[in-house]
Amino acid sequence: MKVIKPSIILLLLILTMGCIFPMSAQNRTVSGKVLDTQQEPLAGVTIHMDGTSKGTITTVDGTFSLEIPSQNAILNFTYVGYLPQKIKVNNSQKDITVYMQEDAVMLDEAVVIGYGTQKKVNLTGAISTVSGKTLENRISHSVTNMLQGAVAGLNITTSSGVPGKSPSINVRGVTSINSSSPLILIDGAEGDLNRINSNDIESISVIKDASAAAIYGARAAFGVILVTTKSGSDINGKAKVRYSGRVGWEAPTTSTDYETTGYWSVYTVNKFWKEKNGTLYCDYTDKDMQQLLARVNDKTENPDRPWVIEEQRNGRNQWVYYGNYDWWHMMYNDNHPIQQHNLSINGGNKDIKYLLSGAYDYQKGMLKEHPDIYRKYNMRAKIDFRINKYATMSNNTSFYGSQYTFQGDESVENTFAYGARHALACFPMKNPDGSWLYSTPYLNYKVGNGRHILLGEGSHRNVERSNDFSTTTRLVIQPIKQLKFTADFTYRMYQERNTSRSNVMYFRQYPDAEMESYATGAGANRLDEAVLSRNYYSTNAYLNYDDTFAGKHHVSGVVGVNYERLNRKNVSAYGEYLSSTTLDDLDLVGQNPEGETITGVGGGQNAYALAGAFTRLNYDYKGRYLVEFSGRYDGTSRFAKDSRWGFFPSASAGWRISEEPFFKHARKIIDNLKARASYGSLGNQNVSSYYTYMRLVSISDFSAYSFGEGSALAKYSSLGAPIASDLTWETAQQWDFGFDLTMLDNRLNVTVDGYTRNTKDMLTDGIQLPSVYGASVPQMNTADLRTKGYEISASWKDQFLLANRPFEYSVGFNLSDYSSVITKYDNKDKTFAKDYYEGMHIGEIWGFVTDGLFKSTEEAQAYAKEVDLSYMGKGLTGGWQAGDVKFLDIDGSGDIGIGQNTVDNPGDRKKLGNSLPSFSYGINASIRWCGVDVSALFQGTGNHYWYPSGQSMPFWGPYSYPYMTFLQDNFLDNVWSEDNQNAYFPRAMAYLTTGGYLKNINDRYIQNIRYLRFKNLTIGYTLPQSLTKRAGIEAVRLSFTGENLCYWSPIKKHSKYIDPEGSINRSDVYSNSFYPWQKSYMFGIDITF
Amino acid sequence: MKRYILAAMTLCMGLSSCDSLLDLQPQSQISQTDYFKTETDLQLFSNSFYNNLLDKSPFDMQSDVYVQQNLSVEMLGGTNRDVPASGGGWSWTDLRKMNTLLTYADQCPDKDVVLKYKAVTRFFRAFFYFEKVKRFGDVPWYDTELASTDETLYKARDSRELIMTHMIEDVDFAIENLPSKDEEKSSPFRVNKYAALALKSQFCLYEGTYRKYHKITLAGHDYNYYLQQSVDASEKLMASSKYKLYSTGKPNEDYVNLFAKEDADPDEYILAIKFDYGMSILHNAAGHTLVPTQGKPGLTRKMVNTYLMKDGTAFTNQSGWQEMQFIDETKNRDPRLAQSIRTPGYKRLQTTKVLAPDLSLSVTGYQPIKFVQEPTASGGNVDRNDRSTNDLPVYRYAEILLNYAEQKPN
Repeated sequence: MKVIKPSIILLLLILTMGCIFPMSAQNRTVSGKVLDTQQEPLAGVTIHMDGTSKGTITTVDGTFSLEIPSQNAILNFTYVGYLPQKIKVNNSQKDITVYMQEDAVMLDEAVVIGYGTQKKVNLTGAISTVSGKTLENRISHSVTNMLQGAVAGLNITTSSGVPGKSPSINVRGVTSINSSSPLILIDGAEGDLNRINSNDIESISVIKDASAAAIYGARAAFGVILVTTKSGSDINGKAKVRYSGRVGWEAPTTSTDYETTGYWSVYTVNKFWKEKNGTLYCDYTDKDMQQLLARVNDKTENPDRPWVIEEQRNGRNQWVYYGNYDWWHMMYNDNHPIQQHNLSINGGNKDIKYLLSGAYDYQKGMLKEHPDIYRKYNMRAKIDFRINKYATMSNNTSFYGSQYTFQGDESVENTFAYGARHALACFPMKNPDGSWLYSTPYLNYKVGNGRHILLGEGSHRNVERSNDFSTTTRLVIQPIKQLKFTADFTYRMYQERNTSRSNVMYFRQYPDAEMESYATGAGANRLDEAVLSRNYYSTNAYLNYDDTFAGKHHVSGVVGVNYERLNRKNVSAYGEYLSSTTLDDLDLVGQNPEGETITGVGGGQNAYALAGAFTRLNYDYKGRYLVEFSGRYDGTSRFAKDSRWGFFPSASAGWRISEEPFFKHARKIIDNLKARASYGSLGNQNVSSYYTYMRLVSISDFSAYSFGEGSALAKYSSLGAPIASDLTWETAQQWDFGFDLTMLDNRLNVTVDGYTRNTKDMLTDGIQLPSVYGASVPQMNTADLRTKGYEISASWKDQFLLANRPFEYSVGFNLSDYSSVITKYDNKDKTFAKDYYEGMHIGEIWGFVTDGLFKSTEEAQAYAKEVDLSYMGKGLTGGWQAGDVKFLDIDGSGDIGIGQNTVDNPGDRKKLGNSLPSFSYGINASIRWCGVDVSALFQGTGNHYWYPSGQSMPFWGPYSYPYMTFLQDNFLDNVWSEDNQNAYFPRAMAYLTTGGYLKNINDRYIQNIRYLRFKNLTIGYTLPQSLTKRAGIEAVRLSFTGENLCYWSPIKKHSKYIDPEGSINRSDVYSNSFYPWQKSYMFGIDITF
Repeated sequence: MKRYILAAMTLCMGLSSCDSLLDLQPQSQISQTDYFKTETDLQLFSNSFYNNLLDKSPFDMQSDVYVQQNLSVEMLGGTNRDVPASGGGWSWTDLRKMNTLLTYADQCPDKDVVLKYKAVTRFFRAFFYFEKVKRFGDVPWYDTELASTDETLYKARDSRELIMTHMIEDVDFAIENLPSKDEEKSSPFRVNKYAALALKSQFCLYEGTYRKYHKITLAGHDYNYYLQQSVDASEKLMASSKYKLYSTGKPNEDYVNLFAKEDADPDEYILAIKFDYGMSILHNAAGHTLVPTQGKPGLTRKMVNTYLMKDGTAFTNQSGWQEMQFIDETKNRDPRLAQSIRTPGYKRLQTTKVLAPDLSLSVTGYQPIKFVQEPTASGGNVDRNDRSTNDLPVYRYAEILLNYAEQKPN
């Protein structure tokens, strides 16, 4: 940034003319102040005049005064962490203000890697860093969610919209057919990324390639995420206090407008049901339908047309329901409040540094009558102190607690899933006499499966509590500058305690009938309690060496050992017939009507241990040629003694082209250009059982057998599956090539990586054995997988002066893609009957090809004569008719079918797409000016496909199960009929997707779920320092943040109820309806004292 | 630098002591080397043989004497009968379990217990192979726990003669070592010596008559050998006087009452399967014959024709038997006919209403009533699907007497 002076040429002229007259070499004083872009003074900035030895440093207030010769001068301003400035000062200028811009790239920054740190310029592996600052604006209960879109190659998928649930994370795509997630270490010990307080985080290093991860050995085959927490800082005894609080609300990302008129709800469901079964689902007569039609426009009950009437039918008094009830909004709230509070105090002096922080998170969920509430507590205390000249010691203790209370049977999603059926809009939740509506003579099913009763009564109390306590003590001894010895010990105790209560529910069917009870299953009077405890210990001891010889050879290394152990223990119990319906304790368990006490217990415990020795050696010549070797020798308790240990080596190299002498001329625009390559081989010991090499006996109850020896079912024991005798590690070998480019004064930064990862010897079903073997084939190390991918990230950050104030802006994006292919698997015939085959792309979807809907029944019948449609037509009531989907016989075999069910003969199927995203990207942008800052983050994926499962009612509507509580509004507009020939959906028929032709994947209904989501928008305003300083407050910032604001996706064309991220990974029953994904809006204040 | 390499090496050597830190044993499950030590261990392991092998259905769906509205593929034959790629009775997991138990049972120090449970296992192994021979004829014989690399996994089928010889060895060992009826307190729900004799009587009769009437000669024994073995087994059982026919002196009611009794008759049932309403162990005998969507079963006329007249002569000797109508053909027949199907004057147990055969419940009109309990059974729910609770017999004394009667004259 240069201060532009228009008359500089004139001045130069005067000066040169002045040189004719020998003027005495006078000195003058230039003074001024140096500020950063937030108008904060910078102390300690070095100012140096070009061509002289004159220089000075700015004071605490950022002011300076320098005597320089009277002439035009160029002053250099340099400061660690900021881009250097060259300011031209002409002779008459006396007072200048200089704005320094932060160096976003920070090539000399120390990046945390395994057991040490390394300068960013010297990294030879693929490591991305995320600073704690970027996480500050994100709203989520889990840090994992905050990382979505932040790092190329880091894939986060959220599994559920339930408060407090954690997403799944993977680095660089499909890692193995036995899925494995990256190793997550918080300050060197295993921790949970979903539990840590995001405000405690200083930085996160994501290690993506094998070479940098090799030092962690067996668990790092699929990436490592290192989290470093903030420490106290030396601010000369003063304490810095920071409070941040945010308040706001959340709402579903998808629509919640369902069909709320009784008429259309009953009409649509009955239409679909009748096409399939020939009868009515809801036994309303034509007169009843007329009554419903008369009320179809009544948004609220009109006293002339009541919504529930009582009349004589079938010889008794019956209620008849003519309502227009909005079940979704009767059971669930759309908007619900959230709050977050955070307080931290840190400070210290040169001998002691401390940090104390606490956070509280509160979220009220969607349930309406008895809201579900999620609370999270975090606390951290960190102290570093110097014992003597050579040794320092530190302790880092953190505590996490969370509690989620909700109404439901077993899980809150069960309520959503089961309540999504049988509650048509004409039915209220309660009868006019105040009793619950559950059973009615018009249905053979139960209204809403009774889930509204348990939500309304508040008698099904569930509490999920979680505690996590961790303490790490570390000793660092540094006898000489080059040598450092570190030893640490971590103890972590975490526990889950879950309570689940259910109670009897009462309902009435007829106005003058007795109250009936629903007392089994979800209505049983039962209490379940479970405690799952975990104890974790880990210890590390290592020696770091770092030295430079002859100013050219920089050598560093580390060697050390590591040991970890985890113990798990579960205790659970249940009891029935408790004597109280409001208190939940096992002491209250009573007896059933026959006088028996019904209780049950469960247990389970196991443990695993890991031990390893590691080493790493780095060498670089003049910072130009970089080489690194590392290795780890790891042992695990999960394998048998002879196959327990493994050695994992890796190597990487880099070449800083920009340091080469021949590059000197380009240095003006290119600050850093580095090419690097790495290779590593890591083992994966993440098999499902902790004791894989032993056959274990399990004792179970028969589901239905007895020898007359008592009143309980008999038990039996069985031996675990046979195991292959040579079971060993899965190995992941990874090659990575990349280059880093920084240009234009560190303003443009580009990183590109390409990688290949071969996962060998994956545990899978071994070669097929004849049935006479008598057991499932033992798992063997017989499958191989190859993943190839690339990552690109780029960012630009700059500032200029606008109305005399610095205007900072930055733009960045990251893009990544991968594809995975099975390279070895025992499936010679490539049949689809087995899970995989050689050459299979993971995620590929095969399906049938279609050609629109039949326009007339003649056309359909003629086609059915031509081509044998019996494979498709199972359960198609009435045969093929107008409006049905026309399937094409692409293999010309004269019938629609799956051929021989192999890749070479798939019948009439072909590859329709892939369920893995074709690429993922994130785009971020921010501007800052005059105390106002705005930042936005977009995140999205390229094409990926999903065929809605048969039970996915939000997509299929009544084509799956017809009796929908949450029927899409105006659904009939999309259903084929004589007058609506171009509709998207075919002829109305229930169960078409679960038992009919739509259960076969086809190209007409396969959905492209690529999306672009406006992930985060933050607008903040920092009050001017002059104002706040008067009150003794260092800084106050007000902000508004929105997360998951909106999304664009092709699936919106066909369903506004399905969030693209919510569509996948659902198991059948939970496809019906589930806790929606949420968007949030929060207002916040940040005060630093 | 040398110092560091040395340090690294000492670390690695120190790691071998770490190995013991990595030796962890399971804490909530017993490993195979520590199991099979007590009687309970062996008993629990053998319990699954009962559940997996005994036939819990009162009706045979594959024969030509008892049919449903939709005929079974065995009856239809021809292109209706696809040879499946798997299933259809070709399941060997229970044999593996039996061979496993026989291999490890010796880990138990109590020798009597070992013999008893080996006997139980060999009883079931003979039972298992009997089912296989009936369905497939020649099958491979295995008496060890197979490893995935065993060549014998791929061997050809062994002849039925070999199988039968092994079966006789197994069942003889069982007869020798199983407890007697009084020693086995859970009789008839657990196998005892007499169940083994009953099994032997049954399968030897099968093999002998199969070879005799199909005119099959194989190397080894001839059909007479098997028939003799069957007779010997039946005789031994009869001589023990432990069992007798159920009789209250009312031949027109005892037959149907025996099968509808809630609890297995301890004097006639040699081996039985327990059913109980409270534990939800249920079968479908009543629902099968009384619910219209359960297949509409019925006996075929071919079967009904085999019932003799009351005086012992054959029904097919009566003149005009081919066209004889229902009311006439059921007159003066063996009392068991009226206690097997609905005949004129049929009243359900503990009811007074006369019920005619219901063609909406039975496709042939010969509606079965065997095993159907009184309407108040199972809390009044007995007529619904899967609500019958009367214990079902596997072997009963009457069968032994019939086996004996069939072959003794030979």
